[in-house]
Amino acid sequence: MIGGVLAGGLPTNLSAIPSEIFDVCTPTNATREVINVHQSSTSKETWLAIDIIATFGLVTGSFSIDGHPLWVYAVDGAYIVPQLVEAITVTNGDRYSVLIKLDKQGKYRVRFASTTVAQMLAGYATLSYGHLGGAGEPTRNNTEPEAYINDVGVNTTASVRFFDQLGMRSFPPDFVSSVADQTFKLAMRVAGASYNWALNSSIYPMQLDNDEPLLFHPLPNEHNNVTISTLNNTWVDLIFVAVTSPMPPHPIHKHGNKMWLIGQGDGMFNYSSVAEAAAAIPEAFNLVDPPKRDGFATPPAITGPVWMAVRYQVTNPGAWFMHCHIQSHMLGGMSMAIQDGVDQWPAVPDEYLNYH
Amino acid sequence: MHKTPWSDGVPGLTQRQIRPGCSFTYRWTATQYGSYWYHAHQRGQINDGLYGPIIIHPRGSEQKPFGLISSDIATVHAMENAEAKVKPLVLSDFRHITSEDDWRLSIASGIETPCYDSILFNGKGRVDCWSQEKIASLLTKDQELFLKLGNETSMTDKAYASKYSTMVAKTLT
Repeated sequence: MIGGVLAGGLPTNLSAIPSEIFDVCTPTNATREVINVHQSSTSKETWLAIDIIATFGLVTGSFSIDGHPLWVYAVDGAYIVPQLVEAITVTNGDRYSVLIKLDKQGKYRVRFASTTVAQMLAGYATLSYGHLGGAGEPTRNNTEPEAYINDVGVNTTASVRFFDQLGMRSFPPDFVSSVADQTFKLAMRVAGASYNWALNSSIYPMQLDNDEPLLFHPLPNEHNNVTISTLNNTWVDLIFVAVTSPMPPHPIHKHGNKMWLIGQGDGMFNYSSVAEAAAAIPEAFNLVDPPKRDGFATPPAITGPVWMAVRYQVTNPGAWFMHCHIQSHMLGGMSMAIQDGVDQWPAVPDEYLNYH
Repeated sequence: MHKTPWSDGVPGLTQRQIRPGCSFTYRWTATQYGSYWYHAHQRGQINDGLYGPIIIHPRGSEQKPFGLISSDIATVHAMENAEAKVKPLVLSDFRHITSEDDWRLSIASGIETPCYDSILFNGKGRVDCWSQEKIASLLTKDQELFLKLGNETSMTDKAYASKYSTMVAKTLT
């Protein structure tokens, strides 16, 4: 049978999968969210601020509100130079703070549609305000604005602007070092069974969750495929390489600090450092005003390897997790431990040290 | 989470696990403003819905970028008022199988089974089932390629590109 041949030579048993997992869809009629805004009659204009917070276990997709452009003014909790857009690509763990001008009372669809290839999935909420607002969902009529995106997250017209992550600028501007003190190249791959993933060649052993916390027992000299160590106040480069293809994007989150996306490109990263790579392929890098946030998704590896370089400054000593935010990838081992500033770890308070 | 790594919540890395019926207090100083979230970091518990929003309001002294949107003082003031009343909108993908049952299914079947049931806004939403006509009309180029790899012609009724396609995509790696 097809499954037995396919999954990397490892045995599969597709008959163990109940039909409701992939095949049978059973609709429900649960309530959808309504964002009700009461406008003050005294103010000249009304704006609404929303913090979009993406807890996704798997999907990445497009967010939009019919008829209402969005001023994105903060990303992952930090102000940026505002961008006016009709849609935002939202991935696992992302936060976007947006301002919306409420200038045409009524009820409008708030949309999210997955752009993850394996499945189509969309959902709606309602934005309601003014005398024409109120309870219930929007009904289609001639005066309702067209949607900016469709149910697979694709823009409906060429004039729809998406948030530009590469073009985002911190506000006020911040400083990123032009050189790094240490570079770690990480080879992302499927590791063994098709549900096992490695952030750097080896899977992060699941039993570590049950072990004594690394924070309580540091291993200052530990450097292996699932552990890296840094010194305080140094600058660190992490180069994520999807060494095999096809491979989906991996939304990487490093705990403990924000980081800058300084470069990305196709092919293997055949350099020992960003400095060496930037001399050879300067167009792949932005070392002047790169985007800064809590996490970045690696580019999809469709026809060959791809790489992504992030830089951060070690200012928050401690044991920090770094992982793919897709739940099945993380469960499958796609994580690492980082001992940041291991030369200056704080003393753990007794209430945490002695917690059992 | 500045300077308090013991309140970061990663089992085996920054703390011992919280057992059923027990409690744990995460104590930390809000040194940053903006939107954040809390969530379990134990295995797949995000998929089970163990998360929520955190909003930290900025100090009045924090420099705001609203003057770059409008030079009208009344407009900037209206934006500041809106920001002070900012509402969280939590976007989630949701499954009707628990994360542990799903993991057991992966072990038993030998494949990942990442097919979701609905998108939720602030925890609310519903399962929408689309007609095969609608699904076919929306197929993207990447999805067509995906189906071809699995020797399939259409998505399932859950609009999934079939378990065969995902396995083939994986096996090519």
